[in-house]
Amino acid sequence: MSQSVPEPSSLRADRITMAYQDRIIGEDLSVDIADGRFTVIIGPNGCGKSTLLRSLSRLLRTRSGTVYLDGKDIHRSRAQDVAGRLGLLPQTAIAPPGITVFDLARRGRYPHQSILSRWSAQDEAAVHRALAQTEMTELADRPVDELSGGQRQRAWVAMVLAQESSILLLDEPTTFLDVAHQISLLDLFAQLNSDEGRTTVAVLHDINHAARYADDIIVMSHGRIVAHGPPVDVLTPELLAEVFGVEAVVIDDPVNGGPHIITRHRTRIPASVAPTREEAP
Amino acid sequence: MHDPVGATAHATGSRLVLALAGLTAGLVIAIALSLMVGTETVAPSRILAGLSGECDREATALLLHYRLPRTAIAIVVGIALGTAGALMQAYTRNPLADPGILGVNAGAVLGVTIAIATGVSLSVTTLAVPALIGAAFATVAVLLLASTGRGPATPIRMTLAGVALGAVLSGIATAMRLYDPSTFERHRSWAAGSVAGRQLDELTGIALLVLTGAVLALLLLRPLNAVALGDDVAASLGVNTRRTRTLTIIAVTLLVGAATAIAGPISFLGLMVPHICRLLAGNDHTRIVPLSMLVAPLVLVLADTIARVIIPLRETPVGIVTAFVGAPVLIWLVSGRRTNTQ
Amino acid sequence: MSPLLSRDHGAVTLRTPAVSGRMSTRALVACVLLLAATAATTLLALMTGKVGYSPGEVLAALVGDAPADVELFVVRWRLPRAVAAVTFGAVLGVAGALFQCVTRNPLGSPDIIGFSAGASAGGVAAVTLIGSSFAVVAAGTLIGGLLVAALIMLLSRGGGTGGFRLVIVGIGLSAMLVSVESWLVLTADLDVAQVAALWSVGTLNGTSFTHSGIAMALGIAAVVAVIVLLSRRLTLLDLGEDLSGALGADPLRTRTVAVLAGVLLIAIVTAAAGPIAFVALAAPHIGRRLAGMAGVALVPAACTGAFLLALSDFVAQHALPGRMLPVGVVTVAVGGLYLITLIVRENRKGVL
Repeated sequence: MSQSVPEPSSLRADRITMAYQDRIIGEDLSVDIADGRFTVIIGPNGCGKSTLLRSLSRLLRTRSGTVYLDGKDIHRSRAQDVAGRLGLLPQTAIAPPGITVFDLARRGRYPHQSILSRWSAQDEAAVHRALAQTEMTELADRPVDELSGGQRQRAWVAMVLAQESSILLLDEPTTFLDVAHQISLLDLFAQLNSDEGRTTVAVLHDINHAARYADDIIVMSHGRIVAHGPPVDVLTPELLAEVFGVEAVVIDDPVNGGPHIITRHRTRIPASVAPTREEAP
Repeated sequence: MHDPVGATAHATGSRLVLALAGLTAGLVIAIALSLMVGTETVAPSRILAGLSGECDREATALLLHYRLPRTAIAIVVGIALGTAGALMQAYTRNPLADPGILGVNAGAVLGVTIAIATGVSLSVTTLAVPALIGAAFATVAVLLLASTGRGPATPIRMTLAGVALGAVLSGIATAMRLYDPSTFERHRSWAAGSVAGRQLDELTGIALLVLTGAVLALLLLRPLNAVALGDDVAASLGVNTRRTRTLTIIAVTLLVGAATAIAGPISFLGLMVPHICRLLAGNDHTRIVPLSMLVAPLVLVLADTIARVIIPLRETPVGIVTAFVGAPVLIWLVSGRRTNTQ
Repeated sequence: MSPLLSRDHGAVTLRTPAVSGRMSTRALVACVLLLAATAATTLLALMTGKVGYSPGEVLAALVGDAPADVELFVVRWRLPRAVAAVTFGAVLGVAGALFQCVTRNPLGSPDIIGFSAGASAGGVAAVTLIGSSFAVVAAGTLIGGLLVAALIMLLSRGGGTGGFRLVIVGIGLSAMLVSVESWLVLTADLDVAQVAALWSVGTLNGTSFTHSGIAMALGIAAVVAVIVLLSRRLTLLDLGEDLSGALGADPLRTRTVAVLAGVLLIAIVTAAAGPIAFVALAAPHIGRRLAGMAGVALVPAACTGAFLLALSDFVAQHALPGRMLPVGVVTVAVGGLYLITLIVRENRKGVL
């Protein structure tokens, strides 16, 4: 397993302004993603979580400021080089009808291939390793559209893992899954993170999932980062009231350790919990 | 492309090899049939003799000036339209995409019609220029039209935009033809889509354009495979999506414009061929596009042979045959849950 | 006793012992304006041509009070064509409204879903295989239209919302029928083929009362019948199948009757003038928007259709100096452009 993860890479944003056309989502954001740790971004709907992830992954060009990957401006680097070090699982992924799990995972090798070298032994090994890690080897020849929701998401994770990037960005990977699949997927990410030291950044909705799995939590509200640090330090009743508008008690998780949030009742609806479904245009 | 995962993957691989062998054999047979069959049947022995110039002059003339050019044109046009259809389906993620349905053919036809009406150019090779301009215009227009809504264009939105655009463009072309019937008299079968009545030397320029488009298409396969997973995934895999899309449009324009300049509008070939290939090789553009380059000429050469004999002593433009065979494929695609069209 | 005409809630109500009805004021005004515009266009069409006449001369000719040469041009040559444009336009408008109501899809016009192509192929088959008398062509278009209607309904069963499958099946069938048509034309004798080819574009050139009079009379009768008999039921159909059933209108029967009526209307026009494209698509929309009505609007559709075709035919006659275009060419260009704007608008609403 030693060769599966290349050199560690570092990712940070320096005073970036994020915007879709005329609509500014967040201004003057700076964040340093800790190498080798599992960072979770939380925040109410429309606060700019996914936008931050898109900016960090080069999908969205920042209006001002710079995102640095290994000290280099991410937009000045070659796309294929960035893709070799930074993998992203967006919410907008589309599985072509009839594609098999194996073929899907295979497409994650794109950044490592060229016109001449299209299917090397490394490519093959990486795909097999990705399938094994996600426990999808058995299902490799099945069409993705015939799988259950949880299996389908695992197939996509296999695609990103086959990319063999040292940084993994996940945009709401557990949405639409039932709780058992959410937990098993998060376990997988935690394991990948601890076994291989792969820097992992995920946007999650469930605060308790964040508390349980994250090494670091980034809390966003109204396009700003309001807190960044280990769950114990970040998840306080005051912050939860301010950001999510919920009155909550934070206790020690009796099973897994760490903080656990129990909400009492809603105090107010923050302005950012608008009826808009998603922050992307 | 050997998949080591399991026996089924191996089976897919060997099935592919089998399919390739079968299709190549099929193409050879189709070409032979196309040379033999027509108002006068030429026996295989006479074809060989005729091609080496050792036969009676009548058969030689029939073969060299009539059946050979038309077979060669059918092959080139088939490659062009099959590849263009596969590219368009990959680009738009729309299983219903086809140069005919999306109005690209109509754009090329209008370009050619304007050129003929204004007397600018009359040779097939120079007609390719207005055809390319028309095809490019229609391609960009239909994509813009379909993208006016929120979110990505759905197949139905794109199909309707194409049908509407095609109706307007071919309406204008029809008006021009009706205004000046005598000028267009000799282009009548071209207007219905036909590979007949041209000579080999007229094909050279067209074949070069098609070759350029086909090479471009082959270079685009891997990026298109990534684009198929969604623009965000493609970008995160390091694909320059904008460049991929621009180059795809250029390739489609080259292929459709060149094919239409010599053979007129031939619909539904670009629709059905990629689907046949998908059945054979799975949903992978690195296989579908090259296979389309084999299947499409096979289908078109066969269709043209059928078109020759379907009405005794009369030529049926091959475009009629492809529409009649291809339209049921469209209906089949949307009936049942065979494709994720919505 | 209530008055004959009354106004309330922005609507006009007509009440006589035998007939009563209600129409919004805006719709009424829109229809009156459309009819006025149609009359003006028709007058213009009667005035212009190789020899121009003043409005006074035209009116005199119409009441039989003009010199023989004026009467020859205006009444014998131009009037049939002008009347045909108005009548057939109205028929197409109503047919389009019927189909759009049944498919509950703004794009469910007979041009797109293949009924027109069916009628047209039937007509070409009749011309090439039997003969070109009105009765034969009418039978051909009717049979063609009905067959295709049945086929489309059969193939698009269970197509789900928005009539998606219906539209695509229609596009496919249209393409096949067009190729059948070309095939028929190619196999026919040259002179028959020319008649069929011109007819298949849709034209009012050479319309006369002796040849198309029956079609015009039938068309007017059918339009009136559909408006009187069907509009009430169709309004209910707009509310959805369940609710319209609960209100006492059997939805399946309403649909079937509406489709049959639509095919009949299309067949009448197609038999006389060939497949005139896109009027049936554009007229119901424009009519509904002008009238500010939601849902089915048969009367505004009829008025708009009449105006559109009258105008298109005027353009077809005079757009190119020295040549008369078939009106079908004009309606394809104009209607296609309208279809494009429609798609853009529907896109914005996110309907498709």
